[in-house]
Amino acid sequence: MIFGFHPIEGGYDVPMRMVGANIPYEWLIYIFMFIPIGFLLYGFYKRFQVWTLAKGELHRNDRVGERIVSLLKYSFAQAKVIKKPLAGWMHFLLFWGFLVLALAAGVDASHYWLGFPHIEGNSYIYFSAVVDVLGFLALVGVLVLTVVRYVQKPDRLNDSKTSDGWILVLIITILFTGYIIEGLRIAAQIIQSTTLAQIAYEQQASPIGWIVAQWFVDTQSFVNGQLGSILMWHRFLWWFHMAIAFLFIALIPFTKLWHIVASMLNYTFRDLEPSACRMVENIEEAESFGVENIEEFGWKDLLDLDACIRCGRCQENCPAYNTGKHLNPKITLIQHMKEHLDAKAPYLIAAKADHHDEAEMVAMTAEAEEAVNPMEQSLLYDVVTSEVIWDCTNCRACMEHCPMFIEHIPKIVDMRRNLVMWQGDMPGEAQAAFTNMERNYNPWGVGWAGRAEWLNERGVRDLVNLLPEDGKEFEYLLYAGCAVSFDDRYKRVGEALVRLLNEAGISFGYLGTEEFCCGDSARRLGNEYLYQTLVQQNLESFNNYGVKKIIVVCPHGYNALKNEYPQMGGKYEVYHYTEFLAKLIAEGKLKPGSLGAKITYHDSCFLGRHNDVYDEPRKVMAAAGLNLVEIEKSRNFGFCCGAGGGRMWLEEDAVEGYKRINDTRTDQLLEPAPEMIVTNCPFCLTMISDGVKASEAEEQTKVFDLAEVIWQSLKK
Amino acid sequence: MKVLVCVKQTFDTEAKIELKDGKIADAGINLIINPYDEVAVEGGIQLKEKKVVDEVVVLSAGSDKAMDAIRTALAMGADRGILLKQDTGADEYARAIALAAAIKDENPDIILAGHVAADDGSSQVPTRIAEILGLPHINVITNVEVADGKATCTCEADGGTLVAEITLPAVISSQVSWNEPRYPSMKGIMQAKKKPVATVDAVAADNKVTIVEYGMPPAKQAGVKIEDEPDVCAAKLADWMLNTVKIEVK
Repeated sequence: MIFGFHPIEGGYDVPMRMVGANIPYEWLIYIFMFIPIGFLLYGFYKRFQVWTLAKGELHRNDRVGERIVSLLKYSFAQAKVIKKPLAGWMHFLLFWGFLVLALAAGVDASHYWLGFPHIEGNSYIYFSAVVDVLGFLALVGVLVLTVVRYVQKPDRLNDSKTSDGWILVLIITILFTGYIIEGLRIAAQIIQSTTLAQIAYEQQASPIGWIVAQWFVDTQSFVNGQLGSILMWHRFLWWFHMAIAFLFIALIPFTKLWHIVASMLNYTFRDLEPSACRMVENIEEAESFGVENIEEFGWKDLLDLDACIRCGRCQENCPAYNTGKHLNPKITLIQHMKEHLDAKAPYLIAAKADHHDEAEMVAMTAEAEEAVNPMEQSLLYDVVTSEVIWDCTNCRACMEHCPMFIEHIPKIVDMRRNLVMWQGDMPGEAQAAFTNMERNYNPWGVGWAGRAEWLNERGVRDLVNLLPEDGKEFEYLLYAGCAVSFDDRYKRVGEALVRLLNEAGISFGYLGTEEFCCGDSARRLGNEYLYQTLVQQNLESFNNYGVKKIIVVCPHGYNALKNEYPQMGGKYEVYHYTEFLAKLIAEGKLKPGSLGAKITYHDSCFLGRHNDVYDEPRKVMAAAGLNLVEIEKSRNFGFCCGAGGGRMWLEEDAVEGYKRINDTRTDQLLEPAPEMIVTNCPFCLTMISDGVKASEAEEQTKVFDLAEVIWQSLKK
Repeated sequence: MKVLVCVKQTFDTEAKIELKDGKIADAGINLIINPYDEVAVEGGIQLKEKKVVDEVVVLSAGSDKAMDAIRTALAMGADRGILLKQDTGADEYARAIALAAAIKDENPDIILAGHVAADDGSSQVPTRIAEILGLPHINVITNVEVADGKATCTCEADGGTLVAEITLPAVISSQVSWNEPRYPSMKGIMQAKKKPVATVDAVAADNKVTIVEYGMPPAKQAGVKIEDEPDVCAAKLADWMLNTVKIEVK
C-alpha cells in the first residue's frame, strides 16, 4: 500500500521518514535520475575537451596536500566567498543548505539502492531538523541574493543577464516546492494519524515543514475531506520538484551553475607560488612569445574563464575600471575571452579530431559566415584589445578579491609578451623605457656609469661600503635600485636609509655600477627577454660578491628579487626595507623619536597585495609615534597609485568624467586632511606627490617615504 | 625601387666619456646606431611598408663591432646588410669615399642617412657621398613622400619648414623628428639572424684630417647664490658682475 501515509514498518511508534509514500511508481525516479547525470557527465566531457585545447605549459600537479586543503577551505568553508560580508554569507547559506538537502536526498536514494537502513528515532529527528533548518536558510540566502541583484543593484553586478534571473527562479522554486511538499506530507500525516501526539515528533524533526503544514490543515478539526486534494497536490508537486531538481543538475555544465564544478577545480589547481610572473624557460630558443591565440594559454587559464561567476569583485577594486579605462577585469578581460573561447572551441576541436572532419569544419564555417568567424578574430586586437592589455597596473586587486583565484595578471602579461616580443607593437613610452633599461640598466635612461653618484650627491659616500671600490666584508647587500640612483627626489630616501642602517650598526655593502635594474618594469610590460638579461647581470654581481641577504628599497625590486629571481636560480634572504626597519626596532637596534604627526599611509601594491606586508610598516610608524588614520581603501583594499605593471613609464590620459588613477588615490589619502602622506615605494611617491600638487594641497600635506620619516624622527 | 640606408655605430648618448692615454676610452661603453641614422632606417622601412620601395639595404662602415648595428637595423625590418670593413679612425673624407664606392655597386634609388652623427657631429658624410656620386642631395628632412621617380621632402628651415621636390636617385638625410624608430621585436631579432650580411673591405683612402688632441670640457663651476631682500640682492649681483666677473660696461 503506497498511497497515503498509513503507518508502515512499525507505524508511528518510531519517528522516521517514509520515503516514497504516496508516490506511485516512485522507483521510476531512480531510473530518470540517469538523464540529468548523463547531461552532467556529457557537459563535463565537453568542457574538458575545451580545456585540453590549451597548448601552454602549466604544471599544477605538485603539493597535493596543500591543494586538497585549498579545495576544502575554499569550497566547503567558502573562505574567500565570505570575504564579501552580505553576499558572501548568503552564498554560504545557499551553498550549505543546498548541499545538505542534496545529501539528505542522497541518503534516501542510498536506502533504495544500497539498502542503507532508514534513519529512525532521535537520529531521524536531529538529522531531519538540521536539514530542514539549513535548507530554509538556503532559501533565505537565495532570496537575499535576489534582492542584492535586482533591488540593491551594486555596480559590480552591472552585467546581469536574463539567465541570471532564471537560475534564481529555478533555485527558489526547487527550495520552495520542497517545503510545500514537506508541509503537504506532514499535513496528510497529521490528518491520517489517530492522535496528534503520534506525529508531534515532526514538529522537532521538520520545524519549517510543520509551519507550512498549518497552511493545509486545521489541526483541531481533522477534516477528512481535505485529505484527497492534499495527497494529490503532494504527488503532483513531488514529481514537479524532482523534475526541476533534475533540470538543475542537467543545466550545471551549460549555465553559470558550472561554477560549482569549475570553482572546485580552480581551488584545487590554483597558483600556490608567491606572486610572480610566469617564467619563460629557454627564451633564447623560443620560437614564439607570449599568447597570440586563446588556445596558447595554459589549461588553468581556460579553466579560469569557466570559473568566473561575474561577481564583479575584481571590477569593484580595479583602478583602471574605477577611472573609466577600457579594462574591466570581469567584462573586457575574462568574459570577452570566455565568449571568444566558447565560439572558437568547436572549430578547434573539429580541427584537432582528425582530417576526416574537414568537411564538417567547412560546413560549420559556412554556417557561421554571417556572424564573425571566431577563427579569424584576433585575441589581442578584436577580443581583448590592446587598450585593455596596456591599461592594467598589475596591482593585483582583481586576483586578491576574486573568490575563484582567477589569474588575471599572468594572462595580461602573456598577451603583452606577444605584443612586445612578437608583434613589436607597444606604446612609444614603453619602447623608450626598454631602450633605457637595455642601454643604461635603468628605465630613466641616465648614464649607467653614474649609478653610484647619488652617494656623493647626498653626502653619504663615507657611510657606504661601495663594493667595487671598498670591497669590505658585509652581511647584507643594500639593493638600492634605479630610483635611489637616478630619481632626484628618491635619492633622499636612499640617503635616509643609509643613515638609518649606520645608526643601527648594520654591516652592509652596495654594488654601485655593478647593480642593474631589477627588470620588474620590463617583465610586466611584456619584455621578458630584457628582464631575463637584467636578472642574469644582477645574479652575476650578487654571486661575485657572495651575497646572501638583501635589503631592497623599492617594492618592485623586492617582489622581483624575492619571488621572481628564484625562477632563475637566484635564492637569497630578501627584505623590504620596511620589514628590516621593523626588525631593527623590535631588536632595539633602532629607536625612532616621536613625531606625533597625523598621517595617512598608502599601501603599495607590490609590498601589500603581492607580498602581504601590511603590518611591518605600520609597526614602524607606530614606533615613531605617528598618528596613522586608516583610510577606507587600505591594506588589501589599497587603491593603486597607477604606476605598477610598468605603467610608471606610460602616459595616462584622464577619461572624461574621471580623474587619473593617481589623483583618485590622492583624494582618498587627503580625505582625513593629514599632515603627511607616507608611502614605501618610489613610484607611489612620484604618483602621489603629483596628485598632491594637482590638488594644490602641498602646503597642508607633504608626501614622504617611510625611511625619510623615520630618519627625521631620529634627528629630532 | 631600392633604398639604401647608411648607419654609423656610435657611443650610447648617455655614455660617460673618459680619456685614457689621450684617447677616448671605449671600455664598458654600449654601442648603438647613431640615433639620426636610426630614424633613417625607420623611414626606409616605412617606405617599404607603404610598398613604395621593395628593398631596404643597410650599409655601415667600421670594425666588426658595427655588425651589431647592422643586425639591429635588420631586426627592425631592413632586408639585408653590408659591412664595410674600415678603420674606425677614418675621417669624413675617407669614409665618404668608401661608402660612395659601395653605394655605386648597389645602385639604389634612394640613399638615406642621418644628417649628423651623435658622436663627432661633423654633418659631412651624406653631403660628401652626394658630391662623389654626383647625385642631388637634400638635408635635415622631417618627411618624405615618394612618387613618379621623385621624392617630396619636408625640411627644417630657420623658423619654419620648406617642402622640396627632388629627382631620384638622391641622397636624403634625416632629422630626428621624422619618425619614432621602432623597438625590434624578438621575431624581428630572430629573422635578422637569417638575413644576409655581406662583409667587404672598404676602398682605401687616406685621411685628410688628423686629430691632434682630445680634451674634456672644463668641469662645471658651482654657481653663486645670493640670498637677501630683492633690492640688496640686486646691488650684490651688480657688484659681483662688476668686480668678480669683470663685465665691461660700455
